[in-house]
Amino acid sequence: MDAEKNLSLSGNGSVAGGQYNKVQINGSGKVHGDLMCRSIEINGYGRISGAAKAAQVTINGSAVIDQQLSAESVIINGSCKVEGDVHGERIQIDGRTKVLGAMRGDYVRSSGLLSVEKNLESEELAVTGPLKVGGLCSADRIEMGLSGMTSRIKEIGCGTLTVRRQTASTLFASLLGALGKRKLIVDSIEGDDIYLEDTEAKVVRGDRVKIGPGCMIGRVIYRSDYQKDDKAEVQTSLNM
Amino acid sequence: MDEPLITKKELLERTGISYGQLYRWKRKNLIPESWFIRKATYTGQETFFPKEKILKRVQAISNMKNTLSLDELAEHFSPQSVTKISLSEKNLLDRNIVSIAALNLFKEHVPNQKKYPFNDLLAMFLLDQMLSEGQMNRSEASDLLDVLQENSGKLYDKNNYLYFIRKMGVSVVLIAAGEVSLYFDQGVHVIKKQAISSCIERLKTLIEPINSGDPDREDT
Repeated sequence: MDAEKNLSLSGNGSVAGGQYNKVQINGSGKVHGDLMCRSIEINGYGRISGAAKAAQVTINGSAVIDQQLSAESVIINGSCKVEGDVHGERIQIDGRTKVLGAMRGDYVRSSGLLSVEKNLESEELAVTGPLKVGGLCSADRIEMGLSGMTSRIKEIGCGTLTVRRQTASTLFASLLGALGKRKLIVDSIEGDDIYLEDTEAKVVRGDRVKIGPGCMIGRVIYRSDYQKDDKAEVQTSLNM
Repeated sequence: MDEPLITKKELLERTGISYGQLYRWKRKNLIPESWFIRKATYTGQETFFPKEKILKRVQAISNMKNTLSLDELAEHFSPQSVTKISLSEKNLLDRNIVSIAALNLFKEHVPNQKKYPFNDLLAMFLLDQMLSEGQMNRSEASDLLDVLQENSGKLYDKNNYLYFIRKMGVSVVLIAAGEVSLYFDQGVHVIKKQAISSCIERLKTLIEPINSGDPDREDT
């Protein structure tokens, strides 16, 4: 395998994995085995039956990666399913992405549908689309805009967390909004600065906690500051 | 768990760190996942930590975080960090880390080596122990060194066990990854079962003063 070689698949075909410079799949392509290259671009349908490692990964069509995906930059505009973990410095999701493993990045942004079965870890996390996390969602700063479908997260652990309701700005989002109530459902939240809207949580623990309109919280445990909106329900609150 | 535990809330109160810091350190693997112990309590689920370990670790991170970046710290606390340790023959004997007999056996096995990286040190250390306890003779030593050298990269995983067994005078050295149950036929005598991680710990504490300035480095 020549690391300087480009690989371009147009039409229907399959190819063995290995090392390449640029990989482009325009029709429907299959890569058998692990793929290691500078860039991967999938415009049609692509399946990598192994792990993929690249500096830059762009998916405009639809892709399935059978094992781990690691890249400096990941951009997903279409739909993507990764059966292993995803590691990336910058991860941008505008389409629909399902990760069966964990996701770890420095900057993760999503305006599409993102679902991570295990933990989602990042330094910064900005999400405006529906988000599902089966494990711990942990970041220094988390900003969530709620629109459309319900977001479900098992646990959140962070420095700053801001959850705000968002008015549907596009037709797509307003259609989604009609299907389900926009809200965040989470078991437990822990953080230093927490502001919530439209959130259902069993426990919220934090230093400064502000519960905004539309929230239903079981218990709030705060250290230095606690505020509650009139349109929020909190069963018990206590100072720790 | 026999060791005393501390709740997350108490930890934050006692050390003055924030949730944000705790989670950041967890993300950077400065605090191992296995220290987060979840338990159901009457107030719902709570997270506990092994008290002594976590207090020591938080103290160490707090002391060092002004001079080192979090990534450097992560390197520091990683069990893999031992891979950077390397000692000369003189150093080894001066500090009484292994006996000269073990060193000589090792040198027969791998001649012409000036510097000994950590996995070699570990091999010698284990060998030394078995020899001095009289469990192993010199010819069996090379079996031990063989298996240790070939698998040295995998040894740093937490719960590996070294077995030394004998049947009808024939000896076998094997490493079991993780704590698994092994069943032998009746003729087999298990002469030694040794947790490799505890050996690594002891060896590290012996070496530590040479690579001075890291008194806080410990196992994870």
